[in-house]
Parts: sequence; C-alpha cells; structure tokens
Amino acid sequence: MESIKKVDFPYLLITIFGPFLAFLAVVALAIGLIDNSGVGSILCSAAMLLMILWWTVFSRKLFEKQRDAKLKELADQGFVPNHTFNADGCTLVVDLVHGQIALLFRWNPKKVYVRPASAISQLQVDDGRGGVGPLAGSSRVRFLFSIEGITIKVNTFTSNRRWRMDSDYILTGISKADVMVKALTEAGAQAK
Amino acid sequence: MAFLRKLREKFHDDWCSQCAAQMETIYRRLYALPDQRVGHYVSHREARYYLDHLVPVEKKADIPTGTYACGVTAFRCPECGHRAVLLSVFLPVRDMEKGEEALYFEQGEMDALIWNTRI
Repeated sequence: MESIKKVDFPYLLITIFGPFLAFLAVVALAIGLIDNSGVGSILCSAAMLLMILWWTVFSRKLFEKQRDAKLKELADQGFVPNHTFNADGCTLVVDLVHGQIALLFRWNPKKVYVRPASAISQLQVDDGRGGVGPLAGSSRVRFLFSIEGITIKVNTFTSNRRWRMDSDYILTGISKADVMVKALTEAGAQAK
Repeated sequence: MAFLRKLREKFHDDWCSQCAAQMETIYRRLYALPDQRVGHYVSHREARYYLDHLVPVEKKADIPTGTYACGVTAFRCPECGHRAVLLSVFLPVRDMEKGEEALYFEQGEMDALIWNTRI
C-alpha cells in the first residue's frame, strides 16, 4: 500500500513557478521577436494578468475540479461519502458503512488515500484557545489525528484576528470539528 | 422593524405586543431540529416548517452533535389575554449555545405543536 504523501513536490513547484516561467518566456518573446513595442507590452501585461489569475483563482478552481472528479470516482467504486469535509489543505471523506476514510490533499490532488478508520489514533479537537481572562480567544479551530505516523490537521475555522471563545465563528468551528471527530470515531468502531 | 424585533428578542421577549404588559409563561419545551446541521443552516420564517420538523427532546444532551435545537416558549398576557409563541433557534455547542434567530408567532400558528405535545 502506498504511503500517505501530503505534498507532491513536482506538482507544487509547477503550480507555483510554472506560470512565472511562462511569463518570463512571453517577456523574452516580446523583447526578442516582436518589433512593435505596443504589441509586446500588451502581451506582457496579459501574461502577467494570467499569472496572477492562476495563482489566485485558476489553480484553486482546477484543484476543486480534480477533487470533485476523484470523489465521484471514489463513490462509483462503492465508497459511501457520509461526511465530507473540505478544508484549506485537505479533503476528508468518512464512510460510516464500511468504516473507511478517504484523504485528498491540496498539494497532491492526483492521489486519494483510502484507509480503514481504525488506523486513526490521537483523534482530538484543538480549539486554539490562547490568552487568559477577558483576553482568552482563538484564531483557529481544527481537529487532528494521526494515521501511519503522519499527523493530519484539518482547520474548521481560521482567522487573522483573535475571536472570543463564545463568538459565533469559534462555536461553529468547534461544532464542525466535534461532528467530524464523532463521525471518525463511529467509522473506527465500524471498522473493528 | 427588524431592528425593533431584535431589541425585543434581546431585552423583552415576554412583553405583550398589544398592551406591553409582562406576559406569563404557559409552556416551555426543548425541540431538536434534525433538518438543520452546522454549516448548512437555512433560515425559515414560516410556521409550517417548524410544525413539520421539530422533534421534542427531554434534554440538550439528547440532541446529536452539530444539530440545531429550538426552544419553544408560549406566553399569555394576564391583562388582555393575548398569546404569543417564541421560537429560539440555536446550535448547542458543548456547554454553550450559538443563537441563530428568534421568531414570534402571535396568530396561533404553533397551537398544533404546543397542544399536541403538552405534558
């Protein structure tokens, strides 16, 4: 069985640096081959716009399309997606019928790792609580677990500021994490 | 009007909308709302939805994790006899509650729910 890899480095490097290399190629083409500087500058601007759009929108859209296709393929093979959680870095699907989980990572979207839920250990919710007294709060809620020696951290809420522990954002994040932990626990019991 | 409604929900949920007297509580019960799950809440303001989907529970611990709950309180005004039903929809999260919305029904829309399940 193939070991779990969160990051496919060639894919990561191509996704990040590929558009930049393409942009450099367009600039070189504009400087070296096109005499009309107006056309050249339009080409360079378009290439730069495409590069920025790739980083901000297109690469994510492409990932979502790949992810949805993979999950559909998985469902066609008999995997029952009772709970699906899409986070920034990974997608976790829980099959309560067969006691299995499926993992798909943002930076390794070509592989779906299906494992028995009983292989999970150290399952817990991290509410990210920090500070004391009136300053107590959190900027991140997640659930985490270990599988095959790898720790998987799935954010249910992230923010660039700290929120009170009784804020709607934090409570929603905790509730989502609790739901997933319960589903994983049930799937683990089903697998045994 | 929405602002006034929110103020009333927050500070005077038991005031009579007809004569402003303090109403007495005649019914209070906790319900689960299994149709609404965390992250997928959809607001409904029509009474029919709640009549169809509320499930009575004895205590908050009986509500599955990530499922919304609804506190139903019926009031009657001792001065003018006006009746109102307050539905407080919230998400139970461990020992806390995330309030979602509060709805008033004052035309007897929730009578079927209250009188059928009264214990």
